[in-house]
Formats: sequence, C-alpha cells, structure tokens
Amino acid sequence: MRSKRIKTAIVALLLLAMLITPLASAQAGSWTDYVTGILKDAACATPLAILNLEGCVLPPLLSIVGTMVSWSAALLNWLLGASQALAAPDIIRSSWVIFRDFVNMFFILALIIMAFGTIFNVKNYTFKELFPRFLFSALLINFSLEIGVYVLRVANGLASVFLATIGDVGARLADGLLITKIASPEGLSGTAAAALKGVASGPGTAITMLAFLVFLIIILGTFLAASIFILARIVVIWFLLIVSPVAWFGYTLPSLRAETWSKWWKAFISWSFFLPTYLFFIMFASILLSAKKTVGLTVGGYDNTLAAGDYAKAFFEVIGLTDLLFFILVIIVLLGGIAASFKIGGLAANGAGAVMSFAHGRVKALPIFPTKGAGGKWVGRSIGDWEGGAKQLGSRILKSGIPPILPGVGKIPGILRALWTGQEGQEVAEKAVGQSLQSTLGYGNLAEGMKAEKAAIDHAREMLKHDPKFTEKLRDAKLKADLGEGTDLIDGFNRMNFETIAEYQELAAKGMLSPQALRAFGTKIGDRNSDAMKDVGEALAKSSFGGWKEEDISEFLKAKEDGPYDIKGMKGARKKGHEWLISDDGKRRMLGHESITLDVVNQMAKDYGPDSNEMRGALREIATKRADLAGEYKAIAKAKAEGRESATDAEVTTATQEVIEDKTEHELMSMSKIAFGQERFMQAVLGKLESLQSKVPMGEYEDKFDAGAMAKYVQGMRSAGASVTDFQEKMQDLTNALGKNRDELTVKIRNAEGRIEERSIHNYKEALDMAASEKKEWDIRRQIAADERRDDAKFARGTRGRGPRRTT
Amino acid sequence: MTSYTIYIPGEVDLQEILQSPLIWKEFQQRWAVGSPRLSDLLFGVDTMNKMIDISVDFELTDEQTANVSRAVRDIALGYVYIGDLAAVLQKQLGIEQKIASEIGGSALEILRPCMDEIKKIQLARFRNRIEQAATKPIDQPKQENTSNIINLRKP
Repeated sequence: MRSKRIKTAIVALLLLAMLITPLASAQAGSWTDYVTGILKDAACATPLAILNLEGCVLPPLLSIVGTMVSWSAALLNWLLGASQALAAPDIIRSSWVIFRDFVNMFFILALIIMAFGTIFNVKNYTFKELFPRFLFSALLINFSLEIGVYVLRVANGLASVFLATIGDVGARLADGLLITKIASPEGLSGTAAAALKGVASGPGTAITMLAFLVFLIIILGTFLAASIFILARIVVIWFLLIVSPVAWFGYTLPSLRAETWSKWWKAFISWSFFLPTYLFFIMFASILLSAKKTVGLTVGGYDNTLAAGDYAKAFFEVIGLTDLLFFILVIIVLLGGIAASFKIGGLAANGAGAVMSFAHGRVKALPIFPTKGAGGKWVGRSIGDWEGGAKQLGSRILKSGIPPILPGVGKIPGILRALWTGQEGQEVAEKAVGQSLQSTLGYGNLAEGMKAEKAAIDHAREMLKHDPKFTEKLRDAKLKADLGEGTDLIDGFNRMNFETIAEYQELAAKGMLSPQALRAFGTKIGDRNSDAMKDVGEALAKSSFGGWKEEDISEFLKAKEDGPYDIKGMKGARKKGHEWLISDDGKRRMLGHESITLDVVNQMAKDYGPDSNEMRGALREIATKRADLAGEYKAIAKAKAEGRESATDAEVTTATQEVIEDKTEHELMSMSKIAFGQERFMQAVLGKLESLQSKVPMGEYEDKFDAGAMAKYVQGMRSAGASVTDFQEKMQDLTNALGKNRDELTVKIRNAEGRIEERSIHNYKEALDMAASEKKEWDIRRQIAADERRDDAKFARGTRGRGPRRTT
Repeated sequence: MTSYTIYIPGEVDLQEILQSPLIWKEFQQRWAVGSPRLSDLLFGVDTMNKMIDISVDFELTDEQTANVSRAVRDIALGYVYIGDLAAVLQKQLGIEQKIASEIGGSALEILRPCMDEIKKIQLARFRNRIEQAATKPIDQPKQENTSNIINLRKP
C-alpha cells in the first residue's frame, strides 16, 4: 500500500516535470544551450557515451532538474501569494445559491421527521430535541457562505502576516537549499566545475554529481508537494464553500450530524488553517537560514589544492558543511511542516467545536424580558434559564407524565394527564403487567414481578393523589369498597388493577376503609400480592384505624384461626397494625382497651418470632400500659420452655411484678385503672405501690400523692365493691391532679350566653365538666328563647295578615 | 318539640359532625379560619331570631329550616360559593327559584355584620369563580326609548 503511494507520487512528479520542462525550455536559453553543447560534443555523440556518466549523462540531468527546482520555487512563491488572497469568486457564490435553495427543500422533510419522532417518541427526534437545532440551521444556512468566507479570511489574514515576515519565499529557500550553487549552469561551470574537472579522471566525479542530483530531486519533490497542497487548498475550499448548506442542514438531524456538520467543519478548518500553519514553518525555516551566515563550519584538514581522487574535497568545495546541515534542516522543516500543518489544522477544527460551545453559552446568558433591578443592573430570565426551564419541564413530562398544574397554562384535566403518564408510568405499568403475568403463569421471577407491581401501584396512587377530582374519586371508591364492588377489578393484570389497589390504599390512609372492605380486599389480593396488602395495613395504621371500633381493631390484630382475618397474605398488614399498637397513638387509643388480650400478644410473637428483637421491644412497649399482658406472656413462655402448657397464678404475678419493677407511681396509677378488675394484675400494682411508700421522693407532687395511701385507698375501694367505672373516674381525677402547672392552665369555653371566654382550671376534667355544664345551661336557655320567639313570630305574621307562602 | 339547633347555623348538625373524627377535624380547620366575631354570629341569639323569622315567614318545615341554617353556615365557612346560594336553597328546599332568591336574600342579611370577613373567606376558596364572575360582561338591560319620539318601525 505504502509502496503503491510512493510509486504514484513519483509518476505524478515526472508527469508534472514533463509538463513544465517544454514550457520552461522556451525561456531558459542558458541551460538549454549548455545541454545542447554537451550533446553536440563529439565524445558524447557515440552510443557508448551513456557509460560516460560524469561527462555526458549527469551534467545535463543536473542542469534540467536544477532548472525545474528553480521553477517550482517560483510556482510555490506564486501559489502562496494567490492562496493567501483566496476568497469566493462569483461562480462559487452562484453555485452556492443553487445548492442552498436545493438543501432548503429538505427542511420540510426534517419537519416531517420531527413530527413522526414526536408522535412515536423516538429518542433524539422529538420536537423538544430537534426544534432548537432546526431553527438554528434554518436561519444560519442562509449565511453559510459568509460564515465560511469569514473563517477563510481569518486564516488568510494570519497567513499574510507570516508571508510579509518571510518576504520572497522562493529566493529564501533557493538560497537555503543551495540551488544557486549546484543547479545553475554558472555554478557548475565555475568553481565547482573546475574542481570536478580536477578529479575527472576517477569514478568519484560521477558519484559526487549523482549526490548533487539526489539533492536536487529531494528539493524538487519538496517544492512540488508544497505547491500541490496549496493548489489543492484552493480547489477544496471552493468545493467546501459550495456544499456548506448541506453541512448546516445536517446539523438538524442527529443521524446526519456526524457525517455532514462535523466532517465539513473539520475539513474546512483543516484546509483553511493549513496555509498559515505551513507558512509558519517556512517562516521558521527562513529564520534558520538567515542565521546561517553566523555559523561557520569547515571540513578540517583540507586545503584549496585539489589532489587526484580527492572526491570529498571536491564535494565540499561546492557545498560547505554548514550548507549541507542547513540543507537537511530546511528539508525536514518543509516536509514535516506539511504534515504538521494538517495536524494543527485538524486541532483547530476541534477547537471550532469549543468555540461553538462558547458562543452557545454567551447566547444562553442573554436576558429575555429584562428589567432594571437594584443598582441599575439588568435582571430577568435569560434565554438559558428559559431553555433550562423548558428542558427541565420537558424532561419531567417525558419522565413522570403531565403535572397537575402547568406554569402558564394552569390546571390540567385528569383525562389529559392520563393520556401520558410519563415514561416511568408507562414502563412501570408495562413491566408490571408483563412480569405479573409471567410470575402468575409460573415462568417469571416472582420477586421481580411483585416489585414491578408495587412500583405500578405507587405510581397509580401518586396519580390519584394529584388528580383534581381526588375527593370525588375517593368517595366513589369508598362506595364501591363498602359494597365490595371494586374488588372485581383486582383480578385483571392491567392498569385498572393498580388503580383499584391504589384507591384501597388511599382509602385506608384516609381512615375510610371499613373492616368489611379490608377483608374483601384481603381475600381478593392477599395471597397474590401481600406487599399491596402490607401497604394497606400501613396506611390504616397511619390513620390510626380511623372509624374502626376497638373491637374490630383487636380482631384484626389477633387474627385467630378461622376468624374473619384468617386471610392468607395478611401478615405484613397485621404487622403494621402491631407496630401501630405499640406506638404512642396505638398505646393511647388501644393498648389500654379491654379488647386487647393475650391473643394479640401471642399473634405478635407468632408474626415477629418469639425470640426476635422486635418481640422483645414490643413487650417493653406493651409493659408500659399492660404489664399484666407482658407478665402473663413471659410466664407462659417460661413454662413452655420448661415443657409445661401453662403457668401458675403465682408465676404470672411474679412475672408481672418483675415487669412493673421499674415503673413510676404515675405509670402505676395509669395501670391500675386497667388492672382494677383483674385480681392478679391489681395485686402486682398494689404491691408495687406499697413498696414505693417509703422510698419515693415525691417532689412537687408530695402533698398530693402518697403511694402507700393510694394503695390502701385502692384496696379499700375494691373491698367496698366499687365498680371499675367508679374506680376509673376517681383515678382520672387523681391522675389529673398530678399535672404540672395546674394553676396556670387556661381553657376556652363557650358559656351559656354563647360567648367564648377563658377560664383557669386545675385539670382537664374540670374543664370538660365546666363546658358540659355551660352547654346544658345554654341548651335550656336557647330552647326556651327559640320557642318564645317562634310563637311571637307566628303571632306577628297573623296580625300582619299575610297569606301563607307556597314552599313546595 | 322542635329543637332550637335548627335555627342556629353553628349548632345545626354539630352532634353528627362530632361523631365523625374526620369530618370534625376538617370542620375545626374551617372554624379556625374565622374570627371570634364570626363564631359569635353563627351561634348568636340574634341569628337564631332571624332564622326563626325566616322559617315562620316562609312557612318552612323543620328540615327546610335546618337546610337554610346549613347553607348560611356553609357560606360563612367557605363550603359553598355565595353566588350559588339561591340555587342551593332551591335544590335542597325543593322550592321555586323566586322564593329561593327571597330566602337567600334574607339569609345573607343574617351574615351582613361579618360580610367583609366572609368575602375574604369566599375569595380564598373560590377565587377563580369570583374572578370569572367579575370578568363576565353584565347583560345591560335594553334601554327603553324614553324620549317623546315614537319609533314607528318597532313592531
């Protein structure tokens, strides 16, 4: 491949030489005469003259090549001047107009592509992605020639600076490359010829002359290569200017961008900046040459007297050592410069990308609708902001669907939003449907299916929450759930399925899901999607089982076998209920309730695991209010560990006492309200209260509370046969009396006059009593007033004589 | 015996509302927006008397009276748009539009002492509808020819 290129180059050079030589011969009388003279020489007229290299063959060749070199230098000189003045002639301009008009037609095609890309949501081809580029291209395509010419002018301007520094390129290089010495007939017939004649008797003369010939050919090749590239630059740049509209159109479509826009700019910048870069190298060579005179190197040991066979001396007689070194240097700079110029041009092309980015950045910073802010500074949203905002909104819509409110548009109806739920919504729903179906059919990954389904339900729930008709939808969902209708929709693996499940979850979160609806839902979905069931349980717990009776909650938490909540897949939901039970809300509402029995604790142990950390934590929480349950559970667990079915009463009491060991008197008072009717628990509480009698520092409650006295009091009430309700009321009073800052407590109460007034109270019960009393008084007064007023009004109306009005 | 609560907008349905924690919570939130003055108005004796007058004047049944009280309460708390009062009364009381408008006018008289505050509550709840109503051109009654020139072309 490489050798083929070299061969092609040699043939091209020879062809060029053949072209140039006849033209040159007409003008260069001196060297033709010289050659003719040699050929006419009798010694060279014989066929054997071909063997006489130094006398008949090499001298004319040297002369011909030398002359070609001087012409190629002149050509290079001329081309450099012409190329740096390069612009776009009229023919290029009119060709560009034809091209531009032709390419403009394709913008229609781009619009159609954009439309289809948007409809089918083809990545990189949507309106959002293509339109800014489309506008950019459609506008600037009309200036593509001017932009190209401008870039060219910049490159040429730079070139002219270097050219002015260099001056006459041909003369400088000819000097540097010893053309005047080795190629001119005068040079050869002068000192050098004389020197050569001195050694003419040996084969060394031919070798020296051959060396000169090789030198000249290298120089010729260098000059011609540079000339060809500079000539090619003109042609290529004109061509690129003509086809520039294609490049600008190519910027619109991503599939064309790399092949048109990027390649065009790379080529254009490379060829444009090739010239100044190359001239820079020539200038560099020129600077080197100008320093040549200061470098005086000689070949040591040689005098001016030529001896027979002293070939080296003959050679250096013509070309000094300094000359030779500079010759090599200039050749390297010239040839290397061509390659380097293209490389640097290519870098400049890459730099163009950076320039475009910079320009884009500046444009983005331009303000739109600016106003003068503080300090006279212009403020406002920039094009970049707008672009950024639009991009953000676009990607958000693309990703997560249409939002409920669009800036500048207002509320978006749910039906429109349902049309596009975003890529996430689409993917989630599609994936979920597919995976659910797969897992159900038995050949999919069940865990993955469940995960995807959960994501779909969460998404549907989000959509529901942001629906402008959320309230109406929820009301309808409740109606359906109470009637058990909604569960029919849960069967199918479709989006309706997810939406119905989401509705159930939302109903639960709002405390609107009845126990019956929960059971219907659990029966339908529990064994298939326990995660969804768990989420319903969590939502129910968050709403503190709003609207549920305590007995229903207890049933749910117990989940006895064959009971209403013996439903497969309910465990996760129940665990959420258990977590709620031992939370502050749950403890306050439910844990003290009589319906919470040991069954609930046993179920917790079953769900959590009897020896788990969760169960231990749960027992601690249970013990804060229901030490009896915690104690009983512990006693039974201990008995079972010892191989017995149940624990004795004494064991239960002991275990309960252990549980309440670290309880304060306040906690014990609270517990005693629950324990009053339970013999074993009450015994434990009283025992603990008795033990507190002597050692508890009562602090600020000291005057109000005496644990020992309290124990005796409770004991007395029990002995007197007081009911649990009576006891609880008394305990409430006593507990309230323990409240801090009781004299500063004020409440707002509506008095019997209907006015709101503030009153100081000692406890909340007092406030409730007060409010109830006022209300009672108010009710009586209002009722009397209303009756009197009505009678008066009827009487007045009768005396006015007005006839009855028809109201229906 | 008719309970007095049907004549007091603040009291009507109160017992039922208290039964549902969710509704009560929302109800409380709405109450929290109003001032003590508005609260007094809705519980006040004067209001009760005016409601009794309406009930007697228009011969309303207890259920109808309770509905008027509810409407007054709902307007004051921003549950119902003030412009819809006549329509709501017509629908809930099952009466003619004209009578509903008359009752609506009397009901608004009850709220007059706190009308500025009610306007603010209404604006906060129904801004869109109020703005729409404000921009809607008002049908100008056709000008009758009051001059002494008789238009003979007029059929």
